[in-house]
Amino acid sequence: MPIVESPTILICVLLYLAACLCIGVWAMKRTRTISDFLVAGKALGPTVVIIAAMSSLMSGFGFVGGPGLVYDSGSSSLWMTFIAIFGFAFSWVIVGKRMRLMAEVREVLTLPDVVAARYGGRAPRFMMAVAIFLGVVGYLGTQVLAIGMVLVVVLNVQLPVALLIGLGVLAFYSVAGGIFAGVYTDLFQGLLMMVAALAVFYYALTVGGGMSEISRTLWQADPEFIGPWGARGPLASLSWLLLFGIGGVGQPHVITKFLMLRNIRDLRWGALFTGCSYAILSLLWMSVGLSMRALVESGRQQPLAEADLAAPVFLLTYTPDLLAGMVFAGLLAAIMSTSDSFLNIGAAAVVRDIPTALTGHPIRRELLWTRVMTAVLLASAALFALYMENLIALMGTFGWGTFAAAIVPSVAIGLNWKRATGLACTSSIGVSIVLNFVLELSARHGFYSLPDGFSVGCFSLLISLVVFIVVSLLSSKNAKDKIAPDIEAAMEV
Amino acid sequence: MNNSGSILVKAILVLAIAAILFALTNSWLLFGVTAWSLMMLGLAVGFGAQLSQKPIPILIVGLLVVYIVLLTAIALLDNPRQPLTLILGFPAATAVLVYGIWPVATVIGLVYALTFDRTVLPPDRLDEFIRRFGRKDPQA
Repeated sequence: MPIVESPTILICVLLYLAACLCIGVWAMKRTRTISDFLVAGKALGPTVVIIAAMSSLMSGFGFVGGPGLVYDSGSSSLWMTFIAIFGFAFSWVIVGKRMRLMAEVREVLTLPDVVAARYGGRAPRFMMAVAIFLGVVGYLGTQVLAIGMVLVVVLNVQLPVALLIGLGVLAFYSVAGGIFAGVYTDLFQGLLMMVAALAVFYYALTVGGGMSEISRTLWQADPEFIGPWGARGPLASLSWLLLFGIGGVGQPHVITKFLMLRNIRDLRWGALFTGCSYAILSLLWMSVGLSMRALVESGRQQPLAEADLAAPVFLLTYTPDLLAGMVFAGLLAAIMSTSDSFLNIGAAAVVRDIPTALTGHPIRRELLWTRVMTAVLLASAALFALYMENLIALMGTFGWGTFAAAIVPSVAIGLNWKRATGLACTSSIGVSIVLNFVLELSARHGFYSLPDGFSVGCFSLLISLVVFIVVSLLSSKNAKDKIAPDIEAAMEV
Repeated sequence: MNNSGSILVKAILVLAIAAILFALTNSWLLFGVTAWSLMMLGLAVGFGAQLSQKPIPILIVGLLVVYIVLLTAIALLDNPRQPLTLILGFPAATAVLVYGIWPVATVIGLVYALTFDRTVLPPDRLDEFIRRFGRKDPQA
């Protein structure tokens, strides 16, 4: 990784970290109950929820991995990020109203709470909590490592010191202020990311000589690269389209934001504005990768050692220090806003959901233990990042695809279809976890890969949907009678 | 959900199986059409009892047609051997993705917001729900 030498960039990042700490102090005073800690007391307005949902979805992957993917394989990954406008609208339509209505009449604080209310019994809650925990461990490990790497570059310190600083700030506001701190830092972080993305988009086009010039350069080098499918081909691109189009409903750190809305009618503009604000971030994803590749192809830039260096190298070489500082702060913001959401739902899975599934009730002093577990999760993720990088890479495969395959059928279909059963819920979650893991391992070790770059997550999602519907049809005798009246009414509104 | 809802879910099952088969046989255009159909069926399931309210059926069928037309346009325009034709900075087929497929979905969010009281949350149905069940029950 290149090392930052500009004091301006350093100051921007330090100011950002200080702002996060201030928000943590403020949020700590507002957090008194477990409901405050997990769903912000169901007291958030629409603007906060919209920006928080957008920024928690845009992780470090979007700011670094996205431009890297475009640099590496052209337009292929654009299908992944462009479909987010549809994905957010889809989430609002298919689960937004149902989940928020359930929160209106029940003490629903987590996604396993939602599943337990819908299907009854303990098994669906347990399986959902396990799926979320596995996904969180994988995601969190990669995010923590990313925080460390960014601070190594900016502060020019060793990884353990960088982790201590970055995770110290994250731990403070996540443990003290819970999701209150999480969503308000998300709001600040989301706005920062949007401004940074717009500015970087401008510079990417300017440095590249305009979009037409970039396209011409890339076309001369390899027409397929700038073609609609990029280097990965149509099947891979379209599998990403489907996975990211409907898989957003399966991202717990995003859809649990519905439970935090103060007023159910505040759902109204979210479907539109969350997608539009994410589209602004997609400009950075697209433009930096294309521009950097065009610079390399035209001989104005040395080829990069790794595709993921596209964004950092572009910022340090081609943008003013102040903008680079903002974007590095925005990059940290992207990573930390995703991490704080994962910490929250991961701690809830361990302290609230799994014990409730096993014993029938949550543990006593839930708020205290959720805070403790938040810190434990973060410390564990840091240790993994320092000593078990390979394990993190492996667990990282339990990411978007696992969440999508495990959660979409049970939540998206299950909250809208009364014949869906608890057995179908547990079956589809189990199948999706095993399938994702086996296919990823198999591809990683060269035993078997899906044809033509087809996404493992998309394949698992389709199989999981089939399992869920078939098992429901086979086991749905009197399923409708087992739904509680208030939940049934929430499914009918 | 009523019978039409169950039919929609069964249609999702059929399309999901078809999508798996198309993926495994690398029939990418058929897979693309199936993927868009799945996504639109999902939207239809989400609108639930309000599915028949105007303009939801038009929105869903219209979007499906638009997406299939755009996908076909990409397939027809994508020819790396032909001379480069730029549309607003992108090769023609890529321009369909950037200026067509990317922004089209904003229509869903727009319709959702503008028809919220009729197609998402009719005030009378919400009031009835709150009247019957509007209580906090920590033990539930």
